[in-house]
Amino acid sequence: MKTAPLSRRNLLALSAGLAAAATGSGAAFGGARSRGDMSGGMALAALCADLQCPGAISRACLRALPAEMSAAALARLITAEVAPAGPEPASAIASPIALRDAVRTCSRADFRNGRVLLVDGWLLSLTEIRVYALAGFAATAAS
Amino acid sequence: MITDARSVPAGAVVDAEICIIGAGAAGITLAREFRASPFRVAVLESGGMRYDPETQELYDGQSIGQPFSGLMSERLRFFGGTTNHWGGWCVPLDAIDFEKRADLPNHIGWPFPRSHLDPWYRRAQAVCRLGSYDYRPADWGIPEKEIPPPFAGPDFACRILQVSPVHFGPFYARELREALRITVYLHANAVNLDDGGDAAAIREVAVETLSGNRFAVRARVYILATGGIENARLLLASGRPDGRGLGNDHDLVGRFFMTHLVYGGGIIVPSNPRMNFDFQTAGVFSGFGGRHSFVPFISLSAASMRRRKLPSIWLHWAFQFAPVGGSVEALKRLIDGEGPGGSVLTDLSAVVGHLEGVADYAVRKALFGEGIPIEALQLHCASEQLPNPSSRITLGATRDRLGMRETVVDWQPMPQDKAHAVATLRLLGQEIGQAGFGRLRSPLVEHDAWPDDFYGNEHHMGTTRMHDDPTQGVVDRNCRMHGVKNLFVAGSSVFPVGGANNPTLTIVALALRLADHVKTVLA
Repeated sequence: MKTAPLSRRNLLALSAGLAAAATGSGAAFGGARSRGDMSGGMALAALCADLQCPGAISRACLRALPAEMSAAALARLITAEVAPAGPEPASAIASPIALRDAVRTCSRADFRNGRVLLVDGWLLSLTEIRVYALAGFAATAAS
Repeated sequence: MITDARSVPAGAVVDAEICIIGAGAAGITLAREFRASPFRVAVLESGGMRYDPETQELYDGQSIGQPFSGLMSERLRFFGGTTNHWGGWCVPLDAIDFEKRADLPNHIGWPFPRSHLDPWYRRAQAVCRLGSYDYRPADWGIPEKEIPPPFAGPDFACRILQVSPVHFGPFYARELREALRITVYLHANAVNLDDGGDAAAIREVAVETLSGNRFAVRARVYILATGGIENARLLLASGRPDGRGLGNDHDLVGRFFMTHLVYGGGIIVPSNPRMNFDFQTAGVFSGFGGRHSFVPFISLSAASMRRRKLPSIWLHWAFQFAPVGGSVEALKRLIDGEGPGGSVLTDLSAVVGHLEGVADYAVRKALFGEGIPIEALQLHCASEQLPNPSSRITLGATRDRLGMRETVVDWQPMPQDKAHAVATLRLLGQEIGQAGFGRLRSPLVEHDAWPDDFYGNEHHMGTTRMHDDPTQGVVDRNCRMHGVKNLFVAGSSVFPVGGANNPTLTIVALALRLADHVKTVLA
């Protein structure tokens, strides 16, 4: 599958989308975390849906993560990253807004710790690459 | 006095105390320093007062290493030299550039620290008609609190360069014309430094004009100031007939040829397209007794360079704006509102031509306020090239109209230069990501080769480098050629390390320092 390169306009839109993520349906990701008032999967799905991540970006990010090609695996990794394991659902994933903030925090920590990858020339954090990749599954599920 | 070498009687011997070869930034600065001295000064300038293609042709040569196009287009061979078309960007080298750095290959440092050169840097500010010897953004109207992370440290720093309005030729011609003991010979090409066969001292300089006139200049002191490439060329063309050149017992003349490595670093997408970018906006500052232009730029901090084993880099960006609807109407409104004589209107045609693409941030802001989203910042980089003995100037078989062998440039950046550039840009990408400033896309980081826009710029350095040990350098700390007691070298060819900053202010400071030294030698 040939994929168009990531344009700066697309990445700009994605960055803006990440900052503005709000509510949405999370049915496709309901299994990402087993407990919670709004499940971690629901919040994650809402975040991904609101990103409206261009397909080219998602596909490029997926290619950068060859071992994490399933939505479930991505959701599990993202959730574990933003809300480390504990007996109760972490507040970090209780809502899309909280999740957005947690993703941003994790992403900045990734940059600080060198957990970065090149995706079509873009230097991106591992966490955001996973989110963008997952957003591609969200878009497919919604269509 | 300024005279024409074509009118000097053929075979004449011109006597002087000081012979300066070359009238660019270094040569003119040196000559001016002797205006009030009792010494007679002969300045030999190859060109006239204006560009002449026949004289410029004497610069021609060939490139056999990495593609290098700077022989003909970047240098200018007439009175004032390359400052006739320079941008005037001035900034001292950083203190760390003077240090010997064991963590970088071949980085031998300078024989003295930056603090030693500071008094002459201060005087160079006046020669170049700059503001105060101060390069902190805060002193140029950019408060520290307005510099966003990560450009306020600890790895990256926002800096200032000052813009000189001085084109040395036209600016200082009158002074030299009126100087009683200084004679500038135009159209005078130095073709040989005659050491009389023993290489201990220069006996005379052979001069030729393109019209065929020949004469000689005899002086007590000779100063070579013909530029980073021609200095080496004339030394290699002089001396013993064995082809090794003058003062070249250790095969160092022409080696360690460096430029600054210029390339597009990629783009940054800012997280907030409407953020205040004034901290990286060129401007005019009223202060220091006048109005002075300045340009902000970004560099690595000294602490970061040491910690991460990186050389110097100079970063600047151009703004790429989102298309603006109704831009022409906005311009009309501006014109109507401002009336004739508005300063912005002087750039009107340029603004109209660039409204949909890259344009100056200050102009856009003046036209449209804060509401113009910035899509991307296009990174321009100039990296330090590490000294490499294989990067060198030699002489070819072809001879120019004066019979001098042409220049052969074998420009050779090292693999470490690329690796350092990649590491720096990767660090930048991580830092802007961590700070939430934006994201970086850099083809340099992604691919093994330098990008297509990579080139070595007009800052030619290192070919007669300074070192106290004659086996390590061509000139000593006083810019005197090792083993030749009355020959000095001025200009960026003496830089043992080039840093990443523009070299002209350092060239002028070193020329002032050399003039002081020559006065003591002749006293």
